[in-house]
Amino acid sequence: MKRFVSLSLALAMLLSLITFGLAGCGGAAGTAGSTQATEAQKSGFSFNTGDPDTLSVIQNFDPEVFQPGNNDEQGYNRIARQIYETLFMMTPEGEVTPWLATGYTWETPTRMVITLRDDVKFSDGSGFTAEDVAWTINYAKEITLPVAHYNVITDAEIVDTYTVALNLKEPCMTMAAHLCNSQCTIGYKKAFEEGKGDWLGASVVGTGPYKLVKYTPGDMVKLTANEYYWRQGEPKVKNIDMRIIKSNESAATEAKTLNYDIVIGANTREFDAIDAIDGVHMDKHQSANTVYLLLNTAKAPMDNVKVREAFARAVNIPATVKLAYGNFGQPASALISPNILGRNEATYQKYYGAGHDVETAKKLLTEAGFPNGVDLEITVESTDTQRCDMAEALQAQVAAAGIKLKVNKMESAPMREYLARGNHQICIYGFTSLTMEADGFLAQLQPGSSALARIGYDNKNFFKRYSEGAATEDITARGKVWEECCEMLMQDYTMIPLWHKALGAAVRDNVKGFYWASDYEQVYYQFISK
Amino acid sequence: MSVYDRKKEYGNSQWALVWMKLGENKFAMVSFWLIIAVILLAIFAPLIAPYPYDAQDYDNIMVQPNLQHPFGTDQFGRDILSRIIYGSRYTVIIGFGTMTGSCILGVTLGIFAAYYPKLDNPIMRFLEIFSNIPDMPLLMCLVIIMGTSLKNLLICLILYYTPGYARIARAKVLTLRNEEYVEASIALGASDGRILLHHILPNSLAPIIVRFTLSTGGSILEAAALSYIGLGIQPPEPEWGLMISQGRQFLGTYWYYSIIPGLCIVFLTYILNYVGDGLRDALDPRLNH
Amino acid sequence: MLRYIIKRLIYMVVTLLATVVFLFTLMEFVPGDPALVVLGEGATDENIVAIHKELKLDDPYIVRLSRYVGNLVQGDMGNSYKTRQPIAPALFARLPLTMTIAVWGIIFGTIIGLVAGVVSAVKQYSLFDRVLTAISLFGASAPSFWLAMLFVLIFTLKLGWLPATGSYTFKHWILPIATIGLQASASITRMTRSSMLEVIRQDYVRTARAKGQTQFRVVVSHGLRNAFIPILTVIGTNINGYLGGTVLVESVFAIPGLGNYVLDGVKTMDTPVVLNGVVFICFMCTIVTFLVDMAYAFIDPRIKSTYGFGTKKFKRARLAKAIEGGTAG
Repeated sequence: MKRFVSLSLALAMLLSLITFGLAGCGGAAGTAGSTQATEAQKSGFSFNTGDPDTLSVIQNFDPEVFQPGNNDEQGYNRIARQIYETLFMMTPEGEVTPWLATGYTWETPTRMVITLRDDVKFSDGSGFTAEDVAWTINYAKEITLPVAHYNVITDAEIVDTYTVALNLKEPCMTMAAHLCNSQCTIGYKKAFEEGKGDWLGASVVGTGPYKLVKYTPGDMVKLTANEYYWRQGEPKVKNIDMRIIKSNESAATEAKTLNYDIVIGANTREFDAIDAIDGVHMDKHQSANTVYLLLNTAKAPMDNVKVREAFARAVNIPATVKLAYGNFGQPASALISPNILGRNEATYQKYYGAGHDVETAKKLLTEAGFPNGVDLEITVESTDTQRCDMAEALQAQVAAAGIKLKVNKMESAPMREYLARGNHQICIYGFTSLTMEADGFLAQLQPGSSALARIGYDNKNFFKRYSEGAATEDITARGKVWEECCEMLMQDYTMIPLWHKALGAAVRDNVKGFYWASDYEQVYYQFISK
Repeated sequence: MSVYDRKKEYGNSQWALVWMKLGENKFAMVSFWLIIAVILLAIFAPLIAPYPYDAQDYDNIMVQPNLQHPFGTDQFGRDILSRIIYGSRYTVIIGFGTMTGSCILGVTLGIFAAYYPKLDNPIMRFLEIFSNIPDMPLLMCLVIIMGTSLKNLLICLILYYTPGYARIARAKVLTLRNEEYVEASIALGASDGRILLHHILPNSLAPIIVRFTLSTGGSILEAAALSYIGLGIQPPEPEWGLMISQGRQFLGTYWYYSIIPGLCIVFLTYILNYVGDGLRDALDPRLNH
Repeated sequence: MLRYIIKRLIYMVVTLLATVVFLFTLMEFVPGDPALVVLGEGATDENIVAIHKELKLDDPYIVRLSRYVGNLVQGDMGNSYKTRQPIAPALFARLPLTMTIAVWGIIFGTIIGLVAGVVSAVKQYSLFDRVLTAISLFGASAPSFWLAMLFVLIFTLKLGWLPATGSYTFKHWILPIATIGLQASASITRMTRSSMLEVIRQDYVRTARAKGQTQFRVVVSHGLRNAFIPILTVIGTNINGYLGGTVLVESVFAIPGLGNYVLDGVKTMDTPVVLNGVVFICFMCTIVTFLVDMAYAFIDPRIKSTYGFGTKKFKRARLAKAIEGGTAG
């Protein structure tokens, strides 16, 4: 009996030893981030909306690293942008304003000279100079960070301490708007060199309103105010505690508990239920993103314009959007979202205005040589519940017109490659007009960009007009060119706009100053008070 | 005991005896017939289901359970009951398909390993590596390579369940090989094939059958889990695990959407386990005395 | 005894190495170009070439394998494609969460399972026995993610007693651990019950009872002790399964553990993350298997005296025991 008890005890001890032994090793072997992880758990970290000095926030993205331009996802930059800042910034109205820069001039059409503020300090107290800007851009190009905005840049050179020049491959008049994007934040050269590129610890030094206190992988980001911040009176709230919840169902459940000041990424289907709760409201905003049905014009039988037109007539867009998003956002009324330069509702009406019409679709299919219907495949990202739902709804709608639609669900990375190789016939994909002009979206459909394969479009005139538009300095004239480019895309039925995306966050009623930046779905916590 | 005594004198076959013993366990018998019923349901789904599984009805979206729709409708206005009935097809195919596939593959490998000592080490060591990797990580690795579809899901699960069968078959054959009647037939000059088919295989069936019934439930759970995390069957197919996953976003308001398919999985796995338990007792010679 | 331990240790290392090679080879078949994973939306042809060069993707298989194994032995797991940061620290940071759920789940499951199993064996065919058997069969038949959702529905959404997600306070841990615990207890109850029933029928138990020992003493000192081997196997395989299977519970409760880390890797096609995550899980499982093996030898004196360690006969007996346990679980 004694022996039995002692042996079981020994076993239990052994098991717990390896458990905590391994955990302990982990802490010792890991970086600052991971030792802090165990500390955070020990201290029983809890979120508290009652604390006026701390914003508690739920984010739907795990940054994993804090490096300027490391990731092109909006969610990543929504966190990193609090630590690092951009040279220019987009106002809520969509105007480009200087931020770390004071202004810019075009020395030649391919050389942009930017002057910088001289009063900006990094969070360690040292000054911000042209060297940091040049280094950030050149380093990103050297190690091929996924910042598409830098693709047009050849290199950045230091002119003097507070002046930097960008040399471009070709003219790009909207460059300043590109540099507003949160992917183009500026890092600190000295911290990178001294921290040996430790983007979880020593190298994470920026000019932003906040600095990193601790990061628990997959779980939590703790930020505190940068005491050297160059803008007086900001940030308004001293600390931010961010919890990372990727599942939108879980985020919605948490939003209802009222334990958080701001919840980003809640399930859209729960918006009305959250809005109905006292003390919290849904902050909704029109985004610059539109979700499309992209028709691959290079892949049979979609290479036949009649088939594409037939497909456009077979789908019921308002019903589909209502089903997936309810009253959130709006069904497409033009090729690009409202408030974007180059939007034209009249041309949309011309090509897509007739709407859902099964008979015309059938007739067009017959003309195209498919009197008995046709088999098509739609590719959609499996993690996006709403897009999957839309695909399922479309499947049932087009069946009436004799189109047998197969839904092909893929994870985001393999899907990206599948589309880049042009293996798909139809896919659901969103494009964002990052610059608040149509070029943010049109630029992705130019030769050399992998996104072009999504529509397989080869129209020399389209490419030519785009380049001309990019080199046009006058904004009205540019807008006309963008409208023309958009019309070409619609005329050839390369894409069917579905939904003008909206953004939603559950915000507690006592939180003031929250707004969504339409261009890249960003949130600037420095303006928020409570 | 009575069955055993009664039948022993007449030399009834081992399988008839097992059947009689299983019959004594009423719950196991009921479960057995329920399994047959589920299989029939899967085969005749189009005749039984009140609606097609993919018929969308935008006027009846998220209807609470009522007389027309006993389990309500989903976000497309599809009848959940019909989807569950059709869904039984996937579950039955996955459960029994996986087990049949891995049973054949595993038992063949196991017998070869035990009967031909030269093959023993390579086969068993390889399978050991395979079974060294826990279920979900291994399945996730296989899915990332092959992509998601019913066929690939079946292949993954078959590969996952093979080592277990191989190990049982091998262990059983190793003990049987030293039995006197096997040695006698070797002495009589019987061929390897004959010995394997006539002496060894029939006598090693018992543990394999028990494993078959008990693991069918397991494989159904694994498949549902893969579908749940989005790596299994893809919509609009009405697989039960997938329905749980799709219903998750409505858990707060329309809880029955994801709870009912889950109950179906529990029900089927439960009766499979019950039959498995009953079979194990019936096949266990120690309990015959 | 020491020789046996050393032999097992060497065997363990060899198996692990083979597993690593096997998994690395498996990952060779992952379709797609890693450069596109690294580059995201804005990939251009010229960037793709640069990434191939940087990550040395075009080296022959054998060169990359030996480089990987060499680094792994030194504790370097390489970098993630997506974040380009070392994987090892990220992985270790997530470990405590998974271990907490798995280990506490198993501990609770074992305690409940042992008690329920012994009680239902001693009171065989009573109402109590039937109810416990039914509950444990339910636990073994329910998908863990569904059970977790059921708990969330009842305890969070309907009753509002416990938080639905996270891993910060004691309250946060109750539901995840209860889910794993219920599942673990199911198989342990069933195994305990059947091995107890077998042992109780043995002569020495009858003798002990005839000698006038109390029921409790008979059950615990004779019954449970001898029924422990198959139970141990079930506990061993459970730890094995739950280290990998926590991914489901983690995903329902939004706990950023190992399982979720690997699952994210699968979803973003970040093969180094998947490879290292799985290798690490296998590493922990091998250690647990090793400990269970050692425990066998300690607990059952029969094995020790009859076969001696390290002999083929011993291994075979252990295997047979394990299989018996396996089919019943």
